[in-house]
Amino acid sequence: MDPAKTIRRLVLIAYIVIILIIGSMGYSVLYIKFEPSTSLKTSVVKDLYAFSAPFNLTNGGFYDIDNFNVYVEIKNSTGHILVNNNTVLPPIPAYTKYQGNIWIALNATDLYAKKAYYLLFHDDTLQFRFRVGLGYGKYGVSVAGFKIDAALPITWGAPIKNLKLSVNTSNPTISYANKISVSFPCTVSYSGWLSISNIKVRSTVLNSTGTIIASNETTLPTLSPGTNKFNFNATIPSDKTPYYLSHDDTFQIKAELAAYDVSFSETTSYNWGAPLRDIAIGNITKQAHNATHTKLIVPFSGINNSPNTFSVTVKAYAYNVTGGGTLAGTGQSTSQFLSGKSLSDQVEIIIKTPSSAGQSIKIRVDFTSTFTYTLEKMYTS
Amino acid sequence: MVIKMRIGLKQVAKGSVSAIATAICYIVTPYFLIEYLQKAFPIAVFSSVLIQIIYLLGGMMVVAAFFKGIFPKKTVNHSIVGLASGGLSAAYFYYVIGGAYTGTFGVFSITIGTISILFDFSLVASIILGLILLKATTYLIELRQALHARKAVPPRSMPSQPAATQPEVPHS
Repeated sequence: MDPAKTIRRLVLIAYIVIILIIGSMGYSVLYIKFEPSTSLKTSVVKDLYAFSAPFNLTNGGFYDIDNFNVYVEIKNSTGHILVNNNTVLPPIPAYTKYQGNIWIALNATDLYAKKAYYLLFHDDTLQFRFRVGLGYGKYGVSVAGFKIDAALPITWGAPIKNLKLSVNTSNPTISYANKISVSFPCTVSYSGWLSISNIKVRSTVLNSTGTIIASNETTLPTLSPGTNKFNFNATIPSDKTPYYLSHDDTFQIKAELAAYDVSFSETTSYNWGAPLRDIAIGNITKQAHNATHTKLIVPFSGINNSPNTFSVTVKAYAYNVTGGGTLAGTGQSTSQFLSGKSLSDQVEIIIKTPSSAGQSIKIRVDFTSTFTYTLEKMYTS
Repeated sequence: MVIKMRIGLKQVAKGSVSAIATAICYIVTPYFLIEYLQKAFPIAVFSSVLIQIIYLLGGMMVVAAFFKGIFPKKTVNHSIVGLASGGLSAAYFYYVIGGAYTGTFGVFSITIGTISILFDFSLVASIILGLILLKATTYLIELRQALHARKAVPPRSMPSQPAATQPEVPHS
């Protein structure tokens, strides 16, 4: 037999076989139905922003579908891959139906870990890319392969958007007990979809010379989209309290909030009004009280520049400096320190009339209300 | 060395028919197919390189088909031209049908906007390419047979003329 002729016949037979296989595959493909979801579904669960695209695949053809894998990735607008996922699906035998779901989720913590902070706070247009690959017509190996690569733009809504921290200094709550503590109402507002937990808020108070006089750090358990209210506390230490009871100042208040390593701060000023501004003991005078005792009249004056009105108990003590500091007498009165008003009042002390002139007496006056403030002055009879 | 050939009108006609058939198959049909596809699917873009390869290889195949038709079968010339024609067919399939000019053989892709669909027929294409080359080797066998047959016929001495190589006897 002519070998050339034999080879040609074999080649012809091979062509016929190939044509039959390709033809049957082409016909078979007509019975494969891929029904994707009409739209990309997004959902938010805690700090997960999930995208899913459910689909049905009906393999009504003669051949199994194998090497079926779905690769999904999400890129930001600059092309950086934020998350990707490759799923290898099981072979889909002929005449069967497969229900699948292309699913991928963006985790807010992942964004933080991948240094994609800005997506936490800014909108973007992300690229949702999926690549579906499969083999078809298996004769030991797949005769044909099919791959679809598609990129769809998706609008990314920032989980924490327009975050704003504001400190309201117009109506603070002030406590004067032991230490001056000022509590300012604060709001943190943002839109978006992410609830943030364990947020640290640092507060710093500086005086007019730029010296830090108070600082505090507090943790907010949870912040939710919308307006969140909390109080911002600034406590002046006890050693500085007497000064600020009697001196006005302008405080710079800086509130700093840190979320996912990004800080937001708000600086505002607050005019501190001392409740006992310029409080001082005036000229002490004496009057005869009776045959044995003398009345010391201790005037005092000041201005209440604070937003609060106080009922102050004024207790005065007279000590004999020359007599070893013994208590010579006391006096007490009550004064109303009206907010924003100046005050001028006096307290009287009855002491035993000194036996000789020129005796030194130390006068101590304690102003007691929600605070305690002491003034001293020497008096020579 | 002088090669004498008797080429009749019948051979020329046969060669021409073969050349026309090859031109229709490898140049005209692809040309109109591309034209049709470009009109039917305006987003489809065919590379100018593909067109050039079709003209170049197709033209060479037409010439080869003409000579293959002229030369009688089982002759050295027919075998050589057949071998060349087989090689050209393989090259044509490799570049044009197999799409190797794009860098990937047997892989075809369609891009519509941001969606790209890729069909991988590299296995089938490789088998077909192998079959084309296998068929081309049959001309090698025929060439060997033709050369063997030529040696088997003793040269005739012609006193009135200088020695010349034996002219090929056309086989009908």
